[in-house]
Amino acid sequence: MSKRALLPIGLEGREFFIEAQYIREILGKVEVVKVPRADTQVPGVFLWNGQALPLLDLNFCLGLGARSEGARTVVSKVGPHLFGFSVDRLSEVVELMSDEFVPVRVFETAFAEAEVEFRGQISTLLDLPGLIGQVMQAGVENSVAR
Amino acid sequence: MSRLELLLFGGERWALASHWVAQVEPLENSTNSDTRDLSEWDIDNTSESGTPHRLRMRALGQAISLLVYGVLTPRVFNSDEVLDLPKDIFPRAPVSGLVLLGDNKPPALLIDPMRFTERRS
Repeated sequence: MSKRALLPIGLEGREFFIEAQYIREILGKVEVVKVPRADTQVPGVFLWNGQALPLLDLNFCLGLGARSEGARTVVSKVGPHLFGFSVDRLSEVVELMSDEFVPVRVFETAFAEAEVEFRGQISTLLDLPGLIGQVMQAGVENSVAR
Repeated sequence: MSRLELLLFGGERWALASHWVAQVEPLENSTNSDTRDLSEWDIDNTSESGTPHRLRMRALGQAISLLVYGVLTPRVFNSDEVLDLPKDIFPRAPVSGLVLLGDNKPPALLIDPMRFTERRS
């Protein structure tokens, strides 16, 4: 059975995991430049290594309500796409066995791939490629509809 | 390198490539009625305190003037000071880049004037 390296993050009192392979850097709170006419799920950009990276509103994307203005910013890369998103809290990457995960049954959340009990709480493994794919698709649809 | 006009609107700094600008004039002396501004892109300008100016733009295929509330001294920026915005993420945005102003100032958004012609036509 294989191990999965995961970054635990916290949003709105909920616990989530992101596959560590998608994480490029952890930053503090970043200055966000809001982009006019941007979609709610990607309201602006921030500066990172000489690039303007889109900042996902992960709370909105996951249907958690209030806008993400977390204390930490996670820079992630899925395929060719570099993004950032804010989280309320995070901790060290952990390794869990694949067979510890079960299908989603406690927290029905958008882009939930599986759940696992971790440190006495139910944590949701996020399907980050699925989420990024949906954001990119929304951009294409908006471009056509413009 | 790019020579950019630095403009004020909605309490924010904006940039516009100088080659688009034919003339800058105070609003009261202008007779051009086809004036556009960034409020049509949902930028709030209800509390403007600056001096209104019109920028007559050229090479857009139609007569367009842009209303702003302050015109700063144009500057030349190096290519590493003007960052592209990912167009596939922001296809409806009337801006194409981010301009690093230095001195701890927040970056300015680079206006893409072609979006005005797309919107009107």
